[in-house]
Amino acid sequence: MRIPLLIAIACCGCTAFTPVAMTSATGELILSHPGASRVQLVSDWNNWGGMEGPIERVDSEIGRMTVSEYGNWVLAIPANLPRGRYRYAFLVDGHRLIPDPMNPERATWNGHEVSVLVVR
Amino acid sequence: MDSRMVALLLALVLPASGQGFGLRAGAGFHGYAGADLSSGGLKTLGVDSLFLFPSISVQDDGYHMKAVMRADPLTTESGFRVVHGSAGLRLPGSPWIGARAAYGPDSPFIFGLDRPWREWDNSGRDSLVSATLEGGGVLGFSGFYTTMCSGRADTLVWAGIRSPWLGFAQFWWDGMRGPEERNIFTGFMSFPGFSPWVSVGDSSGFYRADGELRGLYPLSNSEMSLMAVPFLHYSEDDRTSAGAKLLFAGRNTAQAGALIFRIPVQSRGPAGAELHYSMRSIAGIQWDTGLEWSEDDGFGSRVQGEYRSVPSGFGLGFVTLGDSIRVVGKAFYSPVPTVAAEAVLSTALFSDDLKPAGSIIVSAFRGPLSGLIGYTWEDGASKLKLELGGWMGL
Repeated sequence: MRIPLLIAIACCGCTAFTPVAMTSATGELILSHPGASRVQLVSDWNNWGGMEGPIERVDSEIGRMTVSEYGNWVLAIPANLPRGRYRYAFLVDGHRLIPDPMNPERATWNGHEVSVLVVR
Repeated sequence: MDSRMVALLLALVLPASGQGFGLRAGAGFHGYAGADLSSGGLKTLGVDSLFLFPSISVQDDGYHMKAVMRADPLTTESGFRVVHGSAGLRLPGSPWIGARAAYGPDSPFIFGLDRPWREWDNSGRDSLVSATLEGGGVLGFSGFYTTMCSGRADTLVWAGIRSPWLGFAQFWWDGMRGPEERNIFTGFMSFPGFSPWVSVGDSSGFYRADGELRGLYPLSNSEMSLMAVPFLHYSEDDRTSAGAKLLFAGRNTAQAGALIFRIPVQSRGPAGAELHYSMRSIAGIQWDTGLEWSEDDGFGSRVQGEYRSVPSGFGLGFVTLGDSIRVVGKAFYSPVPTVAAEAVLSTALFSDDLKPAGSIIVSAFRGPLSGLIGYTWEDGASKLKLELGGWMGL
C-alpha cells in the first residue's frame, strides 16, 4: 500500500514542479488561466481597455482575449505597434488586474504592478 | 437630448457604404454602488448613477470624425454632453501631412524608458481642448505640434519629431512648453549582438537620464534564453541607481525568472536586489516566488501556488516582509463559463494581532452585459460593492 502511495506522491510532486510545455507564436501574449470567464489585455497601446480614454471605464470589447479548451487566453499584439516600451496587464473577470506571470519585467500603472513589453 | 434620441443613437445601424468609408457606432452603460456595512448603518461609499455613453465615428482614408457623449439619465441634470470630439484631415496619398482638432483628448502622454511622462495640470480629460498639426515625409522624418488648454492653466505646447528607421537606429524628441518645460530625447539603436536604448531629458530644469543595453544573451539554446540588461537611471532631483537585470525565459516551457540588482550612484537611493521565478506546472499549478532585499525595507519574500481548473481551484501563498509573515488562501469556482467566483482569506502568522482579511467576488458576463458583486472584510470593516455594465457595438 505504501509503494503506490509513494509513487503517486512522487508523480504528483514531479508534475507539480515541472514546467508545462507551452509555445506562443511571435507577437502573441498568452495567459494560462482556466476558470476565468473573461480576460482582456489592457495596455498603454489601447488606453488601458478604455480606462484612460474619454469614458474612463473598461470597454469590454477592447483587448478581449480568446480562450482555448485548455484555459489559455491568447491575443496578438498589434502588428503596427511602433518601437517603444509599453506597459500591459491582464484584466481577469472584469475586476482583477494581474501582470504577465511569464514576463519578469515589471512596472506600475495607477498603483498596480504590471508588465513591460519592449517592441524592437 | 430626449429618450428618442438615445434610442436613435443606440439603434443606429447604418450600413458601411462607399469604398473606404466606415461608420461605427456603439454605446455602453455602467453603474456602480458601494456601501460600508459596518458603520452603524448603511453608509454609501460611492455611486455612479447609471450612465450612457454613445459614440459614433466616421472615417475614410483622408479624414476621420469621432464623438463620444455621456448622459446620466438617473440624475436631475440628465441630457447628453460631449466628452470627446475629434476631427482630422490627412492629405490623400501622404501619410504624414494632416491636421486634427480635438475636445477632451487624452492627457499629454510621452513614452519614456522608465514610465510615461504625462502629468499636467491634473485636469479632467473632458476639459482639454487641443489642436494638432502633423507634417513630414522629408527623408522619412515626421513631426507634430499640439496646443492644449484646459481652462485652468496656461496653454501647453507639445511637439515632437520622429526620425525614420535609419537602418541601425531611430531617434525622437518630445518637448513641452507651458506650466512646466520638458525636453526628452530618446534613441534606440540595434547593432549585431546588442541594442542600446537611451532616454535623456530635462523636466523643469532638472536633468534625467535612463539607459538600457538590451540584446546581450550570455546563454541561449533550444531550452531557454538568458538576457543580461545593464541599466542606469539618473535623476538630478531624485534617486539615482545603476544595475543589471538577468532575464530568464523558457523557450518551450511556461517558466520565467529574473535576477535584478541595483546600486546607488553618488549615494542617492538604496541598494537592492530581487530574485523572481514563475512557472506553470504540468499539474496545472501556477507558482510565483520572489525574494527581495533593499536598504530601505529589508528582506521580503513571496511563495504562492495556485491550482486553477474548471470548475474549481484553490491557492495558497506566504508573504514575508521584515519580521511579519502573512498567509493567503484562495478558492475559485466557475460553475459555467460566464460566471466566476473567487474567495480570498488572509491572516498574519505568529503575531499578537492576526489582522484577518477576506473578500468574496462574483462576476458574471452574458453577451455584452457584465455584473459584479463583491464583499470585502478588513480591520473589522465590511464593504459591499455592486457593478453593472454593458457595451453594444453597432
